Amino acid sequence: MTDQPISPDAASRALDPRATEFRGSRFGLLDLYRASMQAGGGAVIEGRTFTDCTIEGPAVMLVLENVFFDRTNFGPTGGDMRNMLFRPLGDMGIGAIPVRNCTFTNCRFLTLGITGNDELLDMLIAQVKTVDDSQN
Amino acid sequence: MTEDTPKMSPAEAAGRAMVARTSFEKEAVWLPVLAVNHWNAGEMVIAGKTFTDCVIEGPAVMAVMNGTTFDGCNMGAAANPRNLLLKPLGEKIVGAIGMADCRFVRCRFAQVAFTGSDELLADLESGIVAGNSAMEQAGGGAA
Repeated sequence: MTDQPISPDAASRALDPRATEFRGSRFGLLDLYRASMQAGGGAVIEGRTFTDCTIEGPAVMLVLENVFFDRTNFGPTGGDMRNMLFRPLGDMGIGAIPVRNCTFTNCRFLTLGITGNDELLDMLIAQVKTVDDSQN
Repeated sequence: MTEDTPKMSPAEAAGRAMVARTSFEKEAVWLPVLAVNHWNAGEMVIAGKTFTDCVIEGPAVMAVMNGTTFDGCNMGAAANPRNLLLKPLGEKIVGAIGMADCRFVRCRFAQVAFTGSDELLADLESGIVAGNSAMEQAGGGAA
């Protein structure tokens, strides 16, 4: 049994799904996506700033234009950043949660995968230091 | 008077009940919730379940593992079946929902992508077209 359940409902419910700034929150990416859609925010998480947040899956984030990761802990990757990366075989991102024009600063990801174009994936592999499971 | 054993919350009890089920029939299954309930019960892979005439809902990425089969399923709306497929870049998979020894019979997938080995992706690519076509000819949807 895990010591801390994934996706704490109470915390997710407390989120304002249309807020443009999130600071110190812990929530499931999927919960934010669904809440944002239900609040009329469209099918993309867009124009948000996340600071000091813990963002949980299970989910795969489709990284679109102008998304920045600043001091982001991508979570347990089994020692290889590529373990959380997926390359789309087609030209659409079905099943993934699209994110555009967002900045993640000092955030921590848990059980989140990432997909996007080849340039993004190559950049992440080259630039992100892997995190050992034992540190999380 | 205190109790020795803390009680589960209703939500946790419902989650455990879902984990204990081995068959789902004619119902909508929200895959991320099914996964989280398993994870919170210490099971990191969903295994040994049969889904019949169900709608399997995402958004989610399913890691198709050993023993999982699809029989007469509509894998999702995509003009190009490759749009439903993601190739993992590492040897492990983070963020996707692992499913092993599960059987999907006449199910319909909505907003679900699939990932796995190269061989599996190739099989799925050909199977998606055949499965979707067969289900359409049979008259459509599940649940």
